[in-house]
Amino acid sequence: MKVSTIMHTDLATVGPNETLIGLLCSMRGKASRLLYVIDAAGRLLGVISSYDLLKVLTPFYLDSNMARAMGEDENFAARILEENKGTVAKDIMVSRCVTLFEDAHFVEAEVLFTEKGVNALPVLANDGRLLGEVDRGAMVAELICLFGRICPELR
Amino acid sequence: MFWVAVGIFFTAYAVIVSEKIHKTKVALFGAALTLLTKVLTQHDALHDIDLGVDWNVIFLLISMMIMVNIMTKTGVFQYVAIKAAKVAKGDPFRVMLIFAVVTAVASALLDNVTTVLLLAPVTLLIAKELEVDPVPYLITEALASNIGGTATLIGDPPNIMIASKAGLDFMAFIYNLAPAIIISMVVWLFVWKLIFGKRLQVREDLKARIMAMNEKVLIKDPGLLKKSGAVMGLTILGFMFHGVLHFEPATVALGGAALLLLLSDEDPHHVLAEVEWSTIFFFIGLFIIIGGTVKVGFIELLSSKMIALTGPTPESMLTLTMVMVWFAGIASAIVDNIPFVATMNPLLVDMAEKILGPSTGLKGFDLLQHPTMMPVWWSLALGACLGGNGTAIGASANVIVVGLSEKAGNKITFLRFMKYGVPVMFMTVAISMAYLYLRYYVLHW
Repeated sequence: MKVSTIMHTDLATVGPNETLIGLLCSMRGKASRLLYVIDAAGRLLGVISSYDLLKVLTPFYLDSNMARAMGEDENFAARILEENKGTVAKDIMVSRCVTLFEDAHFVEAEVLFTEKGVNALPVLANDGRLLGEVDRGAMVAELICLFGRICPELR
Repeated sequence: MFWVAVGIFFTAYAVIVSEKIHKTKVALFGAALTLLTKVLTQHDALHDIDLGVDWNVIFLLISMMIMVNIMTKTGVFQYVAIKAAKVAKGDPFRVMLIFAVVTAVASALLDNVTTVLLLAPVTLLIAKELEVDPVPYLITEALASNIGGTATLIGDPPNIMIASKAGLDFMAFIYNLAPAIIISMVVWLFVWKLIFGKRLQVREDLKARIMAMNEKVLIKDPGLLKKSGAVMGLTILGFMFHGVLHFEPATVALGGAALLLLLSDEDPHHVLAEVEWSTIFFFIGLFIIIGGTVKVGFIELLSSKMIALTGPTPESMLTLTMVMVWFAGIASAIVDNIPFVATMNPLLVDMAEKILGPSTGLKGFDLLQHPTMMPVWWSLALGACLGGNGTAIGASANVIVVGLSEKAGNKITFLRFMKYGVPVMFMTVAISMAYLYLRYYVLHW
């Protein structure tokens, strides 16, 4: 079975020069926790996760202990956002990400998920264009379906 | 063998200064070459007191790192920093002043890098809350750290090395160096008040942000804090009396580290993993390279030149003392003060043997601690430690704050650091020179 049969295509995509505000807007209301940065031809340039966005919005010098000591200052987050307004997608995207090609086998995807510990993997056409995404939920659902053939309780 | 050892020494020095390759790699490769070319035997490198690795320095550093690593987990340093900012009532200049004093005192008891690594993140947060440029604060902390660290035996690696080489104890450093450091700090902070006192002003609502912070929640493990505070106190007492008790400082520190490891619930695997092993191996490599130059007579040659230049006599080494404080100061601003002191230590030992040996008949530590020789050791310590303030690469603490500031989006250029560092370096070295002259050659304290 090929991964292209279980991938979904409801992806959030942005260009490499999308602003931080634009990235936050793009992530709103999407099922996927990933934003895909693509070029004009639809080729994948990088991936931005919700973790990457939180990292930009959290000063590196602030640890959880110090954060507890801070007064309730709602403006703090707003000030950090204001300071990072100039940040664009290509500044924070992870460009050397793990990908699958559309003709990759199901088992290859299963092994990649366990090896890399990621939640979702982008699926690319052979020319590098982004086609869709396979996530762990889809993988498990497919496994349940497969096991149902040999295990009646799972039918 | 002479040129092989000298070649390894100068090449290693040049590559370390260039910063093209990590200094630990250079030092270890140089050490390996020193052994492979048989300039030194392995026995010389590991067991000879004059030529090999100074294990006192190594174990003192490792032990202090272990203790600080455990103490850091209590959150006490963050607590002190926030408390200090609140004592300053959020006034930006008073925050700078109190942070400088806290950093200097902490650096006298801990290593400088640890101090700035612990305080810089809090400083960045305070500056963010006050909406002021964090750069003057961070540079002030680096400078304070280098100045404060000069006051004690354990405050800065050059002092640890000098103490071990000359057999000097903890109280001797405090008695002889702390007055110079207190004077330097007072003068420096007064100058800082003239420069920053008026310039650093913020609105009252920004000060209120600091006052709203709750420092009490920062103590993560009160039990561990009590234990580590008690062990640190005992260790400092041990340092104060190690001369009387005839213990090496490394023995006291190792005792403290072992006791704290035993009392704490920390996993030794994690605590030991956090020791700065690259620094430790840098020292090991450096000792072996310098040992090679001592063995082939290169240091003896330099010592003869220095004697011809400064004309020390068994009665007075005034010129040498005055030259040394400036030479060490300027050299340490340009190159790392650790290899500099590692080179100067055997050179001064050789000079003491040549100048004082024949007339006094003394040997070993008795010779090195001869009253004529003592001001020279103090001038080396003052020059090497305070000189590090001159440039962004002069001391490890400077490198750390420059890196952290850049990471926070506030780049400190080499020149910007020098604008702060060079005047402070010249001022404190000049104060030290005046202090050395007055105390040891006029007032004879």
